[in-house]
Amino acid sequence: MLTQCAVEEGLNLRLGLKGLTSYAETLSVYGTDAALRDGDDTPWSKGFLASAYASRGIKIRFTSGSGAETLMGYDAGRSMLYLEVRCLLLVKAAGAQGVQNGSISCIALPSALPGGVRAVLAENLLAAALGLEVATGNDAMSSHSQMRKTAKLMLQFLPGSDFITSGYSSMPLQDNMFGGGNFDADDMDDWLVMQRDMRVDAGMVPVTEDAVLGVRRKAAQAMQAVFAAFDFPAISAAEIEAAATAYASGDMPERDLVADLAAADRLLDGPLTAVDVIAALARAGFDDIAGNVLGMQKARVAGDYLQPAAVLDKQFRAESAFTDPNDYRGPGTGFRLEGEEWARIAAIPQARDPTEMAPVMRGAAGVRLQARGAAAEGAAGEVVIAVGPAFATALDTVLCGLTHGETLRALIGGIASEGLCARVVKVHHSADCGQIGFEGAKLSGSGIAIGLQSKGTAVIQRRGLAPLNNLELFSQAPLLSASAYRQIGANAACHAKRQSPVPVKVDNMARLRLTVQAMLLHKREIAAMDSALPPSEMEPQFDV
Amino acid sequence: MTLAAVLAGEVSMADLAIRRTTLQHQAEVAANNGYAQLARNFRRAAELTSIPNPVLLETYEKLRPYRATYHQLLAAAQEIAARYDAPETGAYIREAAEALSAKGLLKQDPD
Repeated sequence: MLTQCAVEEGLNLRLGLKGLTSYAETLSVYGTDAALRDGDDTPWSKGFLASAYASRGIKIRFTSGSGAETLMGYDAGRSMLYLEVRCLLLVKAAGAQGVQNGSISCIALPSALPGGVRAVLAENLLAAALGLEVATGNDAMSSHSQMRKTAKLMLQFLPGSDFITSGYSSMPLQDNMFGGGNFDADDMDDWLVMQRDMRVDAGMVPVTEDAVLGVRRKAAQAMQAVFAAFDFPAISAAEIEAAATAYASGDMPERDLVADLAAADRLLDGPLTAVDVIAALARAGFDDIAGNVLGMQKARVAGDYLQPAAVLDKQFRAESAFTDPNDYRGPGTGFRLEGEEWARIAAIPQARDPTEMAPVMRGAAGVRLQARGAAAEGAAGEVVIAVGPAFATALDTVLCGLTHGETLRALIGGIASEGLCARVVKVHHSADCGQIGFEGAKLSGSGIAIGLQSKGTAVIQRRGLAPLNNLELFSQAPLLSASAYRQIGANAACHAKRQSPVPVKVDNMARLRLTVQAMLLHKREIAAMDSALPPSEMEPQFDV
Repeated sequence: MTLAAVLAGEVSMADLAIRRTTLQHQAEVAANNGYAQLARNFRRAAELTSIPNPVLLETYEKLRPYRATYHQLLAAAQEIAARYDAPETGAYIREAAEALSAKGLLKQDPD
C-alpha cells in the first residue's frame, strides 16, 4: 500500500521526509490565475512542489475538476470544461505523472446543468488523452439519488480508468470528514457484485468476515506495539477488540485526545522516522508488517513508482504506463480482466450452489398418478388438468413449495367449487406449458383445460386457441399458493361455464429469486419427456 | 537493506533517500517514452536531492503569490544553481520570476 495523507502541503512534505507517507495527492490547481492565487499558489509554486516531492522519492498526483473556479468566484466567464482543460495542461506542463479529476467535490455544480455529467466524463477522457494517470473522481457525493450516483459511476466503471474512484471510503458516511463519499463502507457488497456483473476490476476484492476481523485486529495490535515502543499513550486490549469490530468511530472507546496530540507533535518535531517504526514492529514480532513498511522505503529509493500510473505488485515491483502500456485499439484489445484476477473478483462470498438455494425435491409428492391408458375426449361439465411429463414422478414439488399433491388438490377443489369436475391427464411429449394446456384443451369436454408444468407454472387454455395464445397465464409460479391454485381451478370452471373469472393476484418480484430453481426443475421435466407417447388418462391417489 | 540491518541500527533515513543518479535515470526513462515534461520534472528533482529540507521549503514559499520580489527570485535562482549544481532548477526559478512579474504576482521592491 502507498500511504497517503491529505493534509496541508508543508505538513505533508514533513511526513514524507520522515518516510511516513509515500504519496501526496492534494496538489490542487485551478484554471484561472485568480483562483490559483485564492489557493495561495502559483503555477510555478505547484510545479516546484512536484519536483520537491519527487526529490524525496514521493509519488504525487495533482487535483483539479470542473466547477472549482466557478465556486471560488473566479471563472473569468469561461465554461467549466474549458477551465478544466487549462488545469490539465498545467498539470502536464508541471511534469506531474497524473491527476485526480472528475469534478470531485464540485460535482454538484456541473451535475446541476444540462449535459454536465457528460462534461465530467469528457474531462476524464482529456486527462487520459494527455497521457496522465487518471483517478476519475467518483469519490465525492454526487447526488441524493441512488440511480443517478450509480449511473454517473458507470461512465468510468465500464470503460475503465487508472483508478475508477480517487478514493473509496472504508468508513460509513457519518465518519467521512471529506463531506461524504458517493459510495462508502455500506456499499461495498453492491460494488463487489457490480464488478462481478460487469467483469470489471474496480479496485476491490471479495473477502470473508473472518479475514477482515483478523486484519483489523492485527493492525490494531501493531499500532499498540509501536505506541508502546515510542512511549505514546497506551492502547488497551478493549480498544483493540473495538477496533476489530467497530462499524463507526462512535463504537471506539474514548481516548485522551490531548495526550494523543502531544504524542503526534513529538513524532513530528522529534527524531523518530519510518526506520524506528520498522524496528518497533519487528521487535514486537510483526515481521511481515515491518517488511512491508521497509518495502515501501525501498520503493522510494528505486523511484520506479514515480512514473505514470504506477502501482506496486506484491513483491513491491512497480508496474507503470511504461512497463504495461495502454494498448487499447478497439473491441477485443486493451486490458482484459482474466485468469486469476477475474476468478478472485468473481468469487463473491454470497455466491451459492443453486441446489442450496431451495430444495428442488422434497422426497414425497403427496399423490400418485395411476395410468389408465390413452386419454380420450371427455364430456361437457369437466375441466381437464393436463400435467407435465415429470409430474409426481421425477419431480414432486412446485416452486412455491407446495407438493404436487397439494397443488393438484387445490386445483381440483377450485373446479369443484364452481360445480364442475376435474379430469387429470398427463402429457408426455412436451414440457412446454402452452403445449401441455393445448393438449388438455383438445381432450376437455368443455373445451377448457388447465396446463400445469411440474414446476408449478399454469395456464388456462381453451380448445381452438393456438398453443401460445390462452385465456390466462400464471407464469410467476414461485408466487402462487394453495389459494391461488384453488382460484385458478375456479376460474377455469368459470371459463367452462362462460362466466367471468376473478383476477388471480401474483407478486412480480419472485422471478429473480427463483430463476435458477425454475431452470433446474424445467431441465428435469424435459428429461422426463417421451415424444412417442400420447397423453395418458390419470387417476390421482392422494396420500392421506 | 534488510530487517536485520534495521534492527542492528545499521539503517538511517539517509540510506532510504532516493539518489540524484536514480532520478536522472527515471528522467531518461520518461523522456524515452515521450514524456518530456515529466522528464524535466525528474531532472529538477535530481538537482533538488542536494538541497536541504529547509531550503526546499523556503524556495517553495518564495514561488507562492506576493512572497518574493523579482530580484529576490533572481538571487534565489542564481544561488540554487551555483551552490547545489542545479542549473535546470535555476532556470525554472528565473522563468517563474519573469512570469510572476508579468502577472503582477510578485512582492513589490521597497524602493
